[in-house]
Amino acid sequence: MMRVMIDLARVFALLSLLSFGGGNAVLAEMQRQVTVLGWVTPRQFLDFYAIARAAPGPGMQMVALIGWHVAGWAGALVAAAAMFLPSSLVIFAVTVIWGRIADSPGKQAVQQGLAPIAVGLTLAGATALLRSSEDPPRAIATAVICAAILMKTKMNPLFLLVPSALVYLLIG
Amino acid sequence: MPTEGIENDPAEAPRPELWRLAAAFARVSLSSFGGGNSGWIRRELVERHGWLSSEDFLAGLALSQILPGATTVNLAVHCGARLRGAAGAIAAGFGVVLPPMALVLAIGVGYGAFGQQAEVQHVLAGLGAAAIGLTLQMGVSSAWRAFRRWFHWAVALAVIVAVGWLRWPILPVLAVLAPLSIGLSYFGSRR
Repeated sequence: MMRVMIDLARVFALLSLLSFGGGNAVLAEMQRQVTVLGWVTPRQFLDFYAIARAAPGPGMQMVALIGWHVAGWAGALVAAAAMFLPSSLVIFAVTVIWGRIADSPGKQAVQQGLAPIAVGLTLAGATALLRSSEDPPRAIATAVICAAILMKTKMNPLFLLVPSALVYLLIG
Repeated sequence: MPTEGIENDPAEAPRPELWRLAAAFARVSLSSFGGGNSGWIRRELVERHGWLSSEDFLAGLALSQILPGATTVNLAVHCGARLRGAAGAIAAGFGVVLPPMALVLAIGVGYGAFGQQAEVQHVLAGLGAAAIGLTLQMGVSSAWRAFRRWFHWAVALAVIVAVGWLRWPILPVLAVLAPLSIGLSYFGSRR
């Protein structure tokens, strides 16, 4: 049992530190590793992925399901900690160091220069998601309408998510 | 409720209680279906609570995207650390990870492979499309507020085309565009 826990921690901690650009970056590698180790079948991996995507929250929480499948509740805990802790320590360290650097034109330039990167990556993610959806024109129309409503009002986005889900369910 | 765009004066930087931080991120995390995460966080932190300025949020978002790890979790740890140090990072991190994970484990344990049913797929597609709308709105209004120069728009567009459309790998694209954008901002501001 101990052996499995160590393996879970080792595999997911390494994936955590490799996941530049978010969890999707290591999805393929994760699938390879956990199926080669015999922890889950490719089919189970897909199911876990679907469940994690269906529920709110970070998609990488699927590692908790893998950990649970392999070694029960303790396995879920170990896998989740291994996936989220190492990367969190990195961003924590960077945040602390960044906060200690005195305000200067250089720091201002880094902050201003990174803003378009953040916006670009965010919209690039949206573009990729829209293109890979089952019915891109409908997805694009829905997304643009929702964006326009949110732009004009301060309404809670939940009031857009629910009607959109209902419309999709009814149209099929 | 503070209006958006007001600069945070460092002398009176907000120090939200830890439970408020955890609750804010739990709220965001539990309401974020299908990829609208950073849009939700911006709404909660910048517009609803006024804890961070639009510029601070965007810089944190860029770091969260560039460094390894799930962007939402990174953003929670970063914001928590900025507002309340290590304790804030822990509170925000647990807030963003634990509630949805409890939900996922409950679904996974109870229902197994329910995600393959057609109705579930339709609902997910609908939730996803609306969530992308939130992401679009976040991107556009952030750009409107934070971009100071024309080349900021050009850099953002280049990232969208290279990463979102052409599907080029993120690391080399950013290795070129991030230093370029920072350098241009630096020399642009000195004139």
